[in-house]
Amino acid sequence: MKRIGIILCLLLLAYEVSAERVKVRLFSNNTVDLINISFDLGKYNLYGNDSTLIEPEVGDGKSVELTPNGRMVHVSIDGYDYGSHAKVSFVATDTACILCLNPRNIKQRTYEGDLVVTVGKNGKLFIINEVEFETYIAGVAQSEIYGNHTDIFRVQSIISRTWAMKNIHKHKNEGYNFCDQVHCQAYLNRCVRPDIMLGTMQSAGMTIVDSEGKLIDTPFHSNSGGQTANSEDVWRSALPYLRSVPDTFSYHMRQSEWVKVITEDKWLNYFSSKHNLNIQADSIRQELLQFAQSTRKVRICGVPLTRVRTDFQLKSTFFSVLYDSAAHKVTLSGHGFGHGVGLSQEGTIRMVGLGISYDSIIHHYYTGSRIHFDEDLPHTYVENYIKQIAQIIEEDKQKSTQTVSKKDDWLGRLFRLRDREEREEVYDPNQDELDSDWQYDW
Amino acid sequence: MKYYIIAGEASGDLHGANLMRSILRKDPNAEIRYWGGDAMQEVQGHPVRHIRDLAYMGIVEVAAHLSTVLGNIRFCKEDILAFNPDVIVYIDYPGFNLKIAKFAHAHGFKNVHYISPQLWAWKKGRIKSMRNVLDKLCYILPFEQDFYANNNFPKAVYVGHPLLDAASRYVVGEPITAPDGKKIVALLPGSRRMELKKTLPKMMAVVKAYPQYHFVVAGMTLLGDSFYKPLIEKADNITVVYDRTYDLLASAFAAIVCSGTATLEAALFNVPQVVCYRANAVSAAIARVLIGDKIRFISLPNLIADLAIVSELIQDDFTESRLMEEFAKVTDDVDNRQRIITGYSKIHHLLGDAGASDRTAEEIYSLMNQ
Repeated sequence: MKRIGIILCLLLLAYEVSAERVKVRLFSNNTVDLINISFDLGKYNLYGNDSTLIEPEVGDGKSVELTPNGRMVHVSIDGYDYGSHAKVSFVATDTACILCLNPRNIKQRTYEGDLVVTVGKNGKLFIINEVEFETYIAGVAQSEIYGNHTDIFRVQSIISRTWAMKNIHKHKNEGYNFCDQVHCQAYLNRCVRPDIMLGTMQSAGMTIVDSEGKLIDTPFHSNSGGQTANSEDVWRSALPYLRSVPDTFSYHMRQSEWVKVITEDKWLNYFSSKHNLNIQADSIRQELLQFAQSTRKVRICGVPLTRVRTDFQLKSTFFSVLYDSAAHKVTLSGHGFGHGVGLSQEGTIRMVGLGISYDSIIHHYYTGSRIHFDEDLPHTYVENYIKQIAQIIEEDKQKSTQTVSKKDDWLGRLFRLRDREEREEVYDPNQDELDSDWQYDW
Repeated sequence: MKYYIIAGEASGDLHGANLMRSILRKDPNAEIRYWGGDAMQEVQGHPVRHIRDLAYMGIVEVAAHLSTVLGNIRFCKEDILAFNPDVIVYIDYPGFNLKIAKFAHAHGFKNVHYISPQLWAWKKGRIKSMRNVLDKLCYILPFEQDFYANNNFPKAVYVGHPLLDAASRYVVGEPITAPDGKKIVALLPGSRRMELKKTLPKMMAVVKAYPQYHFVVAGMTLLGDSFYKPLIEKADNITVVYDRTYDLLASAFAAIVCSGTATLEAALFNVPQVVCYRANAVSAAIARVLIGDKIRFISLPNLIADLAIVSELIQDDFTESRLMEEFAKVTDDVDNRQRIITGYSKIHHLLGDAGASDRTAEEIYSLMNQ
């Protein structure tokens, strides 16, 4: 009876997890005219049109090369021609499968889940990764933030999950959910670090909602420079949870300060030619050359700072002007990096370092918001996942040096750990006894 | 233009270096002769006297090295006359600097004092002579404004705190981590040998009592391993990093700080801290008589905010048991940590923007062109 229970439970969980898969377009900012695919973990079945099997169980040591051939995808495996197909699918035969993608002239990446390759309207390869939602979130967390503390990735996972759930249909008309660039959220590789995956799983089911329980917009940026911005100061809408707040946690980080030196002429002429300002007028000239922000301002001489930021490609709008009359130069001395609205990632990193809890961090940056927890989450599955991955992290800590080989990848180890646990359960003498009883009763 | 700058301590060296950069931006042909340390040397030239040979603090310590101090004063006067600067800039270090300022004023030199002595705390009587001999006094704490206004000192100007310049120039380095992933506690026991010998042994009691943390001493290269190692050798959860105070504070979860500039640095990095200080008993007794109950606090965060943000363990209160007690509050008590960090935000607000060095350079430059 217990065995049936376990099998049913696993099937149910497998269904629940697979039900939450998303389609992410990879290399969406690049044109891919040749890609080489190898297999870091597990085996894949390759299917062509109408689910015709091209090659079963392709795995370690095999190399698949895809190129566009008119509207078709040409396949060759280890140099052998496997014809052209309207669609080529790589379907994982196990939960722990990793593909290694090597497009020509583009940096190599690895992904979990399935891959579907077609030819796009531009005649280049159109690559979709079908992947479990939380695996995608962990990949996003890894791509979007840096750090060494699990809570950093827990916070990033919550805001990335909230954004993804709110924007699940962003690319619906194009046949996928998200692109892999900052237009959606950066997803530049699978999650290769177990501590990042731990942060994602510790926050599984958590999203941020407003006072009415609706998912909020969760913009974030690298560094606020010491003060976040109101949403309406950067975009159009004034959202109650995107208020400007002092943020001293963003000081003294990698992106806290920046400097850009330009000539006096270039600076003044920009306002004259682009914004029709009379730069001969003393008051205007003085404001342009002595502009200072101790707290964030929105305009300089009536010109939106967001425009100035774009036109001069500045890291932020939070800058002051230092005028060197002798050298006829202006130094734009700025704070932070990014639009400044919502969560500061480097502020988050510092707050985590100071032991501030993930929910306090979210409340600091998203005024009046609250964290919603999905009660329908498969709790046992998540708890076991967390426990197992924590065990892997602990094992890593015991090692004197960390060597990451394909065999050592945390995903492979996680599933070897699961296999072991399941085997131990199957061969448990007491379990056998119970099974006998059950067979007898039946 | 010719500038003669005198910095006598590590913090003066740091602010002196930033001031030199600002002066050189303003006056690229500036000829600068200075007393200072490695930071100033990185900007330009070599110090006439290095700070490692100058740092004596407290009445008794200075008295013990009186002949050296007097020798330095004599040498400085002769050196100024030989160099014949357009302006002399004194950075903090008032005991020495005010003597030189009187001499320089008598010889017709222009005098600028950057980082004013804490006249509001003690030896207020110096204000009269400072008014006479200084052409400009650049003060750095926002609450000093009222003091100088009430004491008819129009030549005093608020330039902002130079630590903001130093901190804003800080380029994030490699994070300081513990070998076993433990949280980092920064120990900032001071920069003077005598001070260190008093404070570090007491901090070691906490180090031994808290094996769950890794303690890192903000050390100074000029003192070196031979100085620090004997003081810390009895624990394995402690290391020393040299000349990386900001990297340390940027990585720290909490700190124990010997009173001084470092208390403000810890606040600027949002690190909850316990402040401790124990002066030589005779110095402390004299100071007590001079200061009386004029000031409520000793640490810069509390002074600036005029609020007890961080705990101060001073003189007899600086014991191992009290330190242990207060350390627990800044590490284990989440509400207290939050209260301290909220207090720090007030300090950030009160101090305002960086730019003290530039503003001071501007004051110096305009004084010379008057």
